[in-house]
Amino acid sequence: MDRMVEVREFFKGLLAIRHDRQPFTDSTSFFLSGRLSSVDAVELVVFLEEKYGIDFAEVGFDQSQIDSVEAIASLLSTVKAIG
Amino acid sequence: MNPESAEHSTPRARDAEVTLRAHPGVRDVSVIVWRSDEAGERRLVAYAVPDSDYINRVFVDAEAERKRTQTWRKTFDLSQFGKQADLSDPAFNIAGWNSSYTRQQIPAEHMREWVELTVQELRAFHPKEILEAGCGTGLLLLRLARECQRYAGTDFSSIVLKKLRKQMEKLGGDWSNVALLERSAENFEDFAENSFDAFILNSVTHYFPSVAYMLGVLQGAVRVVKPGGLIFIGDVRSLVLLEPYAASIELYQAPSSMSLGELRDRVSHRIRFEEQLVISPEFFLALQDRFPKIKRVEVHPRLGRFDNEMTRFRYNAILHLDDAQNGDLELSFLDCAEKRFTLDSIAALLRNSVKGSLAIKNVINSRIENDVEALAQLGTTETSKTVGEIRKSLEARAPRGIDPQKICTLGEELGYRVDVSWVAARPDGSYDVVFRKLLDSARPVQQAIAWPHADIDASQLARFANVPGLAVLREKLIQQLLDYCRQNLSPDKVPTELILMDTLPTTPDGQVDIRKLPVPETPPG
Repeated sequence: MDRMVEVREFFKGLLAIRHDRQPFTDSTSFFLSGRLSSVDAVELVVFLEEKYGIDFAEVGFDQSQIDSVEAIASLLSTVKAIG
Repeated sequence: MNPESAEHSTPRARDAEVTLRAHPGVRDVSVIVWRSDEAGERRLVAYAVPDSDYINRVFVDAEAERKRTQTWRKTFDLSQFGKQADLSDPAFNIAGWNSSYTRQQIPAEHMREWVELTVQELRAFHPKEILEAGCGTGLLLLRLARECQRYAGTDFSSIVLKKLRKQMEKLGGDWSNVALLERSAENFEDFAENSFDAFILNSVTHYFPSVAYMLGVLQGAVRVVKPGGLIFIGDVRSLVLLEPYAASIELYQAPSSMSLGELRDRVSHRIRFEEQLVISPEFFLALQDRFPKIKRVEVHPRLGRFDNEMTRFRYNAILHLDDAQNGDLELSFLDCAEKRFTLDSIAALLRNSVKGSLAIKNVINSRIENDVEALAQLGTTETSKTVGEIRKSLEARAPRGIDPQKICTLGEELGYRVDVSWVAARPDGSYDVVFRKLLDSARPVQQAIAWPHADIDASQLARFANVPGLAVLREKLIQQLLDYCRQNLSPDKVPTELILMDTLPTTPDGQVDIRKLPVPETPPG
């Protein structure tokens, strides 16, 4: 599956647990806006580490890096470029 | 969708109700048939009031607790990978300290005051051998360890400890009396009985997975602290103020155009989805029954000049393991609301006092009186109101309370020792205060104060804390209940939806008020 499709699906899952059925776009802010919590952020981080091998200890961490589908796309492309 | 009235309750709804009522996780239940006007389709919807003890017993198991602890550990690890953790001052690493209001880092001057006041409070006890669980980036350790013979700091994050070691290296000097250990707070392995004179747990308890875990940590702490020592639990989020806290945050973040109804939903959503452990001061008072080594308990709101969520909604609990020498000091408390005290009238009383002491109860807390008022407005039925209107009415309100820091400063300026207390754990955050004249400043006032408080039922400690991540556990219960129905009922009697309720709304004659039940979320078909 396309990576961005997987990331969108992951966000959908996190929102479903919170009964959040509002739509979102690739630029929707999830963590900085408070729509999802820091516990959700950890779930996403673990997903990105396990699925795509991102090492946040290496690339540094800031919530803005994973705040939207777009931000994650950009993060993945940078990491790929480094790798 | 319309509910069919109770008189038309079908046998299948009744059967589902009887089955669900027999489940130990259900305290009360009502099953209603909803009819769709267009398709004429009927659906069974169950409204169940869950048993919170059951949720605790069944879903908060060791594995769930371990996962929750791991999640928080990861949060701390990540906080140290960011730019915030790159330090100019190695003794002041506040990466990860973000405001719930702004979601931005808490201003450094607020954090400095927060650290310094905590250090000052601990220093007054002159501890020589300290064990600190959750020492983090060393905000307390780096300030107190130099004055101690031994300081053991533990933390569950190896990354945080690695950073702390680097900070110590940068600061230089002799740290040979400090031991840093990677372990979780409940691990007291290798610490001998009665071997420390202070156990510190500062701003850590809200990351604990459950009240049972908290109790385990305190059991270990009581064992390793010497008689005469103390257990300091700092920066605890107050359960009795969880609702005003949620109202305060949501009101701050909401756009002016938002309706009162939507704000109310957001507040209740925030409370339901609370991820952290939030504890009532009553929990600490109740501990004395369980651990006789604890001789007295102090609880006071966090002080400080700055207005933030710590100085509004958090407290320090100090468990003393000493023997009270002279018994508790029994004082006659004047009621602040009754006497209509102001800061000025209190100042006049203190200046003219011949008794040398003054005790006042029920002081309205000016820091949160607007938050408490906002919560009260949410309880009204005027749903047409907007957030902008609520803000305006709060701004126009004449303040009635007194800031606890200001009351302390006033007393100290007039030569008194001032103690403020939240032992009474009132849901409006009001506090009690005692002023005692310092006749000889070299000799601190030692006698403990008998603070007014209601009787506490120590047998039900779980009632004094929330269940972190309860919303997820409630989802698990819903699934379990639906599975239970599938196992015990024919398919046509299994509810299509199950909604958990705090209570079932009733009519004046005690029947379930169907009109007040929430409409099912998903359309039929």
